[in-house]
Amino acid sequence: MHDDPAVVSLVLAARDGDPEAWQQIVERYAPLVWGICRRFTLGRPDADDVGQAVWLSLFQHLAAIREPAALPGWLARTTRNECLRVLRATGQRERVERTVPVESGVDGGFDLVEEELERAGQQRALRDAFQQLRPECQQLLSRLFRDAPPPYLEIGSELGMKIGSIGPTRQRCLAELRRCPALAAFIEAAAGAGKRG
Amino acid sequence: MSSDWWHDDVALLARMAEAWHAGQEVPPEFVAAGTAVWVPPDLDGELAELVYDSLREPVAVRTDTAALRALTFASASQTIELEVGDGVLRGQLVPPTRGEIEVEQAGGATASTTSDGLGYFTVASVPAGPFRLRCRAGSGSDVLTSWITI
Repeated sequence: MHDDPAVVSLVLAARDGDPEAWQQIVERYAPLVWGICRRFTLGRPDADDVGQAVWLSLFQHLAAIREPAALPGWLARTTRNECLRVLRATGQRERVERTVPVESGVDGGFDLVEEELERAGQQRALRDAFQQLRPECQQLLSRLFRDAPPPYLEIGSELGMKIGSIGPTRQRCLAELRRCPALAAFIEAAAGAGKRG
Repeated sequence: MSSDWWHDDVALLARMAEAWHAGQEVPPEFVAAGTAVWVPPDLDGELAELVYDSLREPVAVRTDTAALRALTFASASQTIELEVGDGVLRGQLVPPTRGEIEVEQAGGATASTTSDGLGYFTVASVPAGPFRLRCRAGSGSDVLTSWITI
């Protein structure tokens, strides 16, 4: 897991009583917590239960977190523990065993948590980078996110672009995305660490 | 997951789309519940820490009221005794104080009650999920218990 420099300042600010910083922490890591709940096949009320316990726990431990950069790992482990607690409490233990690889035993889920950490970290970098893109690029790329993107003709008329310029603009915007600080840092760390998802 | 996906436009766009959808998938209420956990640092409030929990005592030491859960919180000026049984939360402020007791949960205050002249109070239903009590008595500062789950 590469470091997440933004989180250090957020944790310090939240610790000093800045509600905005707290909100940003939650927004930033909600997909990680949510993703792990989903991997444990939790439905809505249970996932909400886990989420609340995780955030409350973080809020209470905010002052005690020695290494803010380790926050994603801490959140992932806490979420895993809470998922197992909820599944145990609701007598759905067999679901845990089905979800979790056999070799990791009844209290497993470590591989699953590692995978989600990795995926969430990558997706966080991509979303952050997207936010750093100029609006024109955000508008164009977001129209291409759908499973079946609209035809260039439609995109062109929506954005007031010539059809012939959409392809080159898309290419330029993706190049810019790679250079956005959030993704550039991720790529550098990932390339440095060798093969990485 | 293959490595170096970022070199290729098609792969990068696909990952970007996935990341964007993953962000959209998180229900707004799931995030809102997390942000609601925040409570401003209560500079006037006095924190009463958990100093006793019957659940943490070895079974042999437990008294015959095993069905009850007993908790004690203490701050410098106030002790709060709690007992849970039959779905009801009973408590006493020591030293005895007349005051207002609020149950706070992640979303804010969910119930309130008052203590009598002997400091006794009752919360009609045990809160589901994590909660804490805020005790407001007379002119003194609020006393806040740490978060607990029954």
